[in-house]
Amino acid sequence: MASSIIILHQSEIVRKGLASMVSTLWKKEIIQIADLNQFPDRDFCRKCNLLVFAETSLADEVLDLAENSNIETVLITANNQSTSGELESLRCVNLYSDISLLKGIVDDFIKNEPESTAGENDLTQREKEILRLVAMGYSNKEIADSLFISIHTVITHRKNITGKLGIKSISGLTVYAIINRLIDPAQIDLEKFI
Amino acid sequence: MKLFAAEDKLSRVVTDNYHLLPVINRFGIRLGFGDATIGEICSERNIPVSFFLVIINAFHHPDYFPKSEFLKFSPKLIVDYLRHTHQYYLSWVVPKMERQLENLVESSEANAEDLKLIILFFRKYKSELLYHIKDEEDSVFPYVLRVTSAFEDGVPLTREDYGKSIETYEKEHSDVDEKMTDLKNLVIKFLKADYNDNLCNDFLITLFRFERDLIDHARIEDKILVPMIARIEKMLKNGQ
Repeated sequence: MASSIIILHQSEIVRKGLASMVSTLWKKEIIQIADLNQFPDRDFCRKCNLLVFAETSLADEVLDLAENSNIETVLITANNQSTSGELESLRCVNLYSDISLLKGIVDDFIKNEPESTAGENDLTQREKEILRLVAMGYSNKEIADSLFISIHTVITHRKNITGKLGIKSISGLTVYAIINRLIDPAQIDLEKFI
Repeated sequence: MKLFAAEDKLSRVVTDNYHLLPVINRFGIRLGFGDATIGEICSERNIPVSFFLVIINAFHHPDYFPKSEFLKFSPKLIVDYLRHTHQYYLSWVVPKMERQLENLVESSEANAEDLKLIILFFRKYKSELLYHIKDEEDSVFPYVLRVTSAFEDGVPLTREDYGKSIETYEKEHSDVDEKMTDLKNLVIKFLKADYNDNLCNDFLITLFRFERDLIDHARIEDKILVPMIARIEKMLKNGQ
């Protein structure tokens, strides 16, 4: 079962800031989304182990989605904001939280993560990262530069991705990446890439 | 490998492999042929029987590769056949696939975003396919016809044509084929949206049929037309 961390917050500063801190603790997928429309569907949630950092005002809906799924929810609260009702039992982070609080949360999540059952045809984290960049229209050289790897390595990854998925064209890979929520369609000019 | 022969009844060809129906239609032959043999129907319609047999056998047996002694007909007939095939794709198959995809999207009550992406991808595929077909119609086929006229009717080749070779015209089919495979895999392996099973199957069956037809089309170009023209080019250059 795949595991991902989702950061759901309307503020880009909060999303990116939190993602950057979490990325030092978590080497797998971090999905950043600004609203619930971009939230993975129930089918995906059932198949995945998810840790969701959610803006408090959106948390009720996340808890609805979390029913019957492996979703653990952590609230992102404003400073000194108090919670009530169902939300009271949830763990919280706020703008002033330091890395040790995050580490506790992420470590617990990793500890509870079921044994990976990833088949050999599942993409690795690195392959997903490269696929995401390919789908967004970056050239091999640009991908190599941004990930500090050689072009040769990028090409090898691309061959492996194509081998696993059976999809070769850039536009086909873009469709795959969107369907599997590796990229947000809003990030690309669909008419141009597909 | 049992090849179809001139004495075989055409009705048997159709019952053996009904996928040959559109192929037979491209020769202007329609149903209701009773017990007539391939030879009888071809002679009635002035179709060289060797040509008809090469085309249906090439379609029926993917490994069939006719020896040059069977290729006694004019390449003009092949061009004519390939043009009819293009026409069939453009006026029937491609619009049908697009319609089936649209029906599929309409059948999905929620979360049709995946399917809409697949339509976008299909349209990209379609535009590349149309471009490829247009290139053949506008440049490859006219060249083939000029070379054939030079050989059959003694119409001299221009200096420009004289320097060319059919091999240089042989455009890569690979981009178009690649997208066809991607389209198939995207639907079969990765489709997640709600969809109607029967509509999706209809679309896939059309897609598989079309894929098979395209492979046959490419084989006739690569294994029959190109070697024929290459041989004529050689004879023209040797002054034969």
